[in-house]
Amino acid sequence: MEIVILGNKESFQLTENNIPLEIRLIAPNLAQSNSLFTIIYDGYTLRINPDDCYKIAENIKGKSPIEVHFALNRIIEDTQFSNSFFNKSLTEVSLFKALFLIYNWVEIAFTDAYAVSIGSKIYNEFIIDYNNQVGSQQDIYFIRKELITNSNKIYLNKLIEVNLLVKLNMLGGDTFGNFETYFIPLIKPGVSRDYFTSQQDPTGEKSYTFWKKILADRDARLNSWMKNRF
Amino acid sequence: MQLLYNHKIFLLFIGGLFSLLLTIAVIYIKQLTKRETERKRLEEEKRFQPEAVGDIDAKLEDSVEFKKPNIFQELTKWGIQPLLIISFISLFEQATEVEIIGTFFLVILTLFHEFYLAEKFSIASKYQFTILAIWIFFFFLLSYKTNIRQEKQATSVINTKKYHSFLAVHYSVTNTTKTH
Repeated sequence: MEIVILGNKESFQLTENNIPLEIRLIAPNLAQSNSLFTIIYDGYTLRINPDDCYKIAENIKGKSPIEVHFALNRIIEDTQFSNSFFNKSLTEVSLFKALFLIYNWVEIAFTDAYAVSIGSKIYNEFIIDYNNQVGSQQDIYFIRKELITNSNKIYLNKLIEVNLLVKLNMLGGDTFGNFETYFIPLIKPGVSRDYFTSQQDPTGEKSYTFWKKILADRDARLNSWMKNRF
Repeated sequence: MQLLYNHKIFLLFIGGLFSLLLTIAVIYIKQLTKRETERKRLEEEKRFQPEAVGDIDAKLEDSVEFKKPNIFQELTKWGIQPLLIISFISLFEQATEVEIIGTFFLVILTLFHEFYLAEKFSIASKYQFTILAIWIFFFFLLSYKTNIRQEKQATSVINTKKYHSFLAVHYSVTNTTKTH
C-alpha cells in the first residue's frame, strides 16, 4: 500500500512559485509482515517502524509547525530529518501533516484488505485536524469523484498551483486497487480572483466556478454532518 | 378570477411573510456580526502568518461558517414552516378534504425539506422557485376555498331568510284561515 501526496510547497500568494513536493508513504500489509515503513520526502528516504508511524500520526494532530518539529524530534531517531522541519513553511508542514492524517484515516486498510473499501473513504469525505481547543478546527476535504475527469484536469492543476488543492494517489495494487483523488489541504489561504487566471483559462472564470463548485459540495457535506452527525 | 383572492387569507399570508422576514433578518445580522469579528481576527493573524490567511475577503467567503449569507437561500431554507402554520390555521374553519390533504402534504414536505432538501438544494434556483410556487398555489387554494365557503354561507343565509319569510306568510295565512 502506498500513499502519494503531491502539492505546491511554496505559498503562491507570497512567492508566485510552483515547486511540486512529493511525499510518499510505502507500507506493507501489516497482517502479512511487520517490516518497516518507508517515507520518501522530497527525495529523502526515511525508514520507521509501524508503531512510530502511528505515534507520529497521533502526536502531530492539531499541532502548529513548531510543535510538529518537537514531536518528530521525540519520535524519530533520524535527527537530520526532524531538524529539517525547524524552518519549513506552514504550507509545507501542512502537507506533511495531511499525509499522516490520511494514514490514520485509512489505517485499517493496511491491516485488513477486505474490512473497508478505500473508495468510500476518499471521495466527498473530510478529516478534522482536531486541536483540543475552542474555535474552528482545520480539516481536509476530499472532492467528489464525479469532478475528477480529464476535461477538468486543467482546473485541478491550476488549483494545485495556488495551494487550494493537493493531489493524492493511493496505490494498492491488485488487492486494494489504485485510486486518485484531490483534497483541500489544512492551510487553505484566501486566494483572490486574479490568481485563478492561467494560459488555458485567460479570464480565470472557469477555474473559479470550478472551485466554487467544490466548496458548495464541501459545505453541503460539512453542514449535513454538523446537523445530523453522519 | 375574483374567487382566487380573499382579503382575510391575504392578511394571513402577509403575517406569515413577515414572520419569515423577521427570521431572516435575525440570521443575517448575526452572520454579519460573526463575519466582522472573524475579519478582525484574521487581520491580526495576517501579520505573523501571511501565507495561511492570504486574501481576507476570499478566505472568509471560502469558509463554511463565515460566508456572506445568500438571502434567497435563507428564505428557501426557512420558508416552509410559516406556510405550514398558515395551512394549519385554515383548518380551524370548517376545512374540507382538500385543505386537510394540503396540510398533510405540507407536513410530509416539511420533513423532507428539513432533513434533506434544504441542505442540498436551497442554493438551487429551481428549488427556490418550487417553494415560491407552493406558496402561491396555497394562497390561491385557500382563497378559493374560503370564497366558496363564504358564498355558500351567504346563500344559505338568504335561503333561511326566504324560508323564514315563507313560514311567516304561511303561518299568518293559516292563522287567518283558522280565525275565519
